[in-house]
Amino acid sequence: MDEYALIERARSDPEAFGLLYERYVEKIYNYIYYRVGNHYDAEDLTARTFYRALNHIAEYTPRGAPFSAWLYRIAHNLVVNWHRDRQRHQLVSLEEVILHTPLEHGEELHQLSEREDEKERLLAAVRRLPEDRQQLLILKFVEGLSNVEIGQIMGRSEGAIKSLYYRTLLSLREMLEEVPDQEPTPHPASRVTGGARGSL
Amino acid sequence: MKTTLREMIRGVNARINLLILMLFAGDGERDCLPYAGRVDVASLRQLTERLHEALVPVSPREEFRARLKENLLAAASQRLAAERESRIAALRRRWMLIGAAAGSLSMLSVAGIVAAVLLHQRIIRL
Repeated sequence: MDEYALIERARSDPEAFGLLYERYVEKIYNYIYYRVGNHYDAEDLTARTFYRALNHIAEYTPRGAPFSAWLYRIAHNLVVNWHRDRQRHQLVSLEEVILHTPLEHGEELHQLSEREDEKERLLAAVRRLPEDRQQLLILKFVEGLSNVEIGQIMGRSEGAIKSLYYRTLLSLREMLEEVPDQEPTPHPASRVTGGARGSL
Repeated sequence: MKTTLREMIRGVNARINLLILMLFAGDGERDCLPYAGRVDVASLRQLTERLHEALVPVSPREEFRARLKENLLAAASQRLAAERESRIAALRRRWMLIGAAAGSLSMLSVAGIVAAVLLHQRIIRL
């Protein structure tokens, strides 16, 4: 069914809202998971995102952007509030991403461990990026969205997204070059400083 | 002479890197091309590959997903029922007000007629 028609129906039909939920729950969950770093809070914030969408769907007016952009905005606002509310050290457990890394063909266990360490070092560097850059990387790599779609979600032009992406890659590379031999954050549960940064 | 040659080799290297990026990079990396000539594109390409490996999609628990849907549908039905209820209550209130206004008007009219008749009779008697 056409998305616009489905949204119109969802204003007065719970089943139609259920269809919208099915269409977007995975994307929103993924986005939140990489912003908060654990499944427990990702579930809580995903639920809150959809409850908020349900309560405000009557006021939703499509302005050229897809429905998902509206949902991502709700999720983004909730994540920002969540970080603001947590004025303490966060427990970020990325063990499921890291420990579940499969062995590649012909790979030894120590090689897998090295790969995991490298991955964790990269994720730690990403966690130190400003919030908008983290958001951009999640939307691009986890959700696989195009620059135009990311621009609609983040309220920026395609050109601004391209430029931000480029600058993000450069700063990430610099960060990784600065601390090449730094020990990765201890896992399975990594601790990072709270606040606007350190959300991945 | 040596420096010029080295610069030429560096330039050729940068172009080769650019070509590699153009051939194998995804949408995002190609977007960097206007700037790519100035940077080591190979390392950026490597970085994006590492990001692809690290930022993998995850799935919510099936139980959570199903329970949330159930709760949302129940909340949506409740909300609709509450809205319907409040609409009916508002309509009922409106009709009661109209009825009361009409009733008051008709009572006033009857009282007016009675007063007029009594006044008329008194005038006749005088």
